[in-house]
Amino acid sequence: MRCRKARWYLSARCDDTLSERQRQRLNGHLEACADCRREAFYFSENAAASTRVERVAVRPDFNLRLRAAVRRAEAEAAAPTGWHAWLTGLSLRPAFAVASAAAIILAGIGAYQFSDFSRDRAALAENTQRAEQGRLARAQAMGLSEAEPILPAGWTAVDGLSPEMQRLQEQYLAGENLPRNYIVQSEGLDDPLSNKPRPLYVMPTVPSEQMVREVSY
Amino acid sequence: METAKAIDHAIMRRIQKDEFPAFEELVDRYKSRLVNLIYRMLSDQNEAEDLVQETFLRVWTHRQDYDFSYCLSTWVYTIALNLAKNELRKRRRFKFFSISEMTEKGLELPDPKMGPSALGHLLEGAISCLPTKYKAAFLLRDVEQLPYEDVAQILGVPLGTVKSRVNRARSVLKNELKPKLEQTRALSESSLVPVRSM
Repeated sequence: MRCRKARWYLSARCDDTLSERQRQRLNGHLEACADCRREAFYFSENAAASTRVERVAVRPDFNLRLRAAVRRAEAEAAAPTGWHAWLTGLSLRPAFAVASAAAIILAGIGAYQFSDFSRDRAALAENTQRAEQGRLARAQAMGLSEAEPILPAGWTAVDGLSPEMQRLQEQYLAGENLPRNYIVQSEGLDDPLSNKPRPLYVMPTVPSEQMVREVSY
Repeated sequence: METAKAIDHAIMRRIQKDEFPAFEELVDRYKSRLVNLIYRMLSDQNEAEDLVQETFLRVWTHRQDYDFSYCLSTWVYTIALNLAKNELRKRRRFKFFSISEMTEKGLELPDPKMGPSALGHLLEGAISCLPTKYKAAFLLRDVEQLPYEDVAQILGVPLGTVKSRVNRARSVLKNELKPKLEQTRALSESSLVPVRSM
């Protein structure tokens, strides 16, 4: 047996976990090796000392303090803590209840006033009014009657819309999709039936000869 | 004869029925062992008692969570050791020095007439210098005399690891105490040299 293994066995011997064969081999080695014999002595001294390590006495009021701590912990667990405790305390006061109800109502009114829904309705009405005013002003400036269609600034009607363009305009107002290469020129007024911007012109995205004939720049 | 485990389980069943006297019985069974274990880990009795109190408080608070397939002692020791480890981690973060710690504990020369209790005192000083993982394994096995299996369960490591840690701790302590023991032996042998009569 080598010394390294013998020293591992020395620790196991302290636990009394060596088999009979291991014990015999260890004893054989210890008889022959003085160094390991010395190590064995220190191991046994240490093992004996570890059972004699001085034990500290627990203070006599330990149980009393523990009982108080348990009571405190149970009281804390039963009582609401943090925000919950604060809110519970406040909600019991009538003044706070009235004030919070008023605050909730005001917040509801405010939310409606400043909501997107309210803003959208006001903006739509304003836009419609502004567009109508602009249309009338342009018609007046061009010396046209209010009922006549108005071209965008810089555009002049030559012969009015071709039958093809009129068909497309009607198709658009009926809610049908236009061919991909046509766009709608509009002033943003909603058509009450289709709920779409009312078209002033339907025209091809790429200017064609026909368009040049219909509208001159 | 009723085993310690059976007694513990009987007490725990009463505790689960909210019987406070049973809880106090449990406290009396374990407080000394736990305080001593934590005291060796932290080297501060006040703190050790506070942590043991916290341990029992947790036992009481979580009494309904106790799993009867485990040893009660293992559960209690695990809670206490985890609290001690947390405390040691905190201490590492905020290092405090107390006047008593600044004196070289346990490293002074031994009394030539050193008896068994003085050797125990020396060992105590050497234990406090061990790394935490070796210290915990050594204290549970050699000082508290718990079986290796229980120590493995408390520390949450395999049995082989516990054996290796205990062996390592024993070797470190042996090397630490060897010079002092040799010195003591030399001194005591020299005092036994017969004086030649004139």
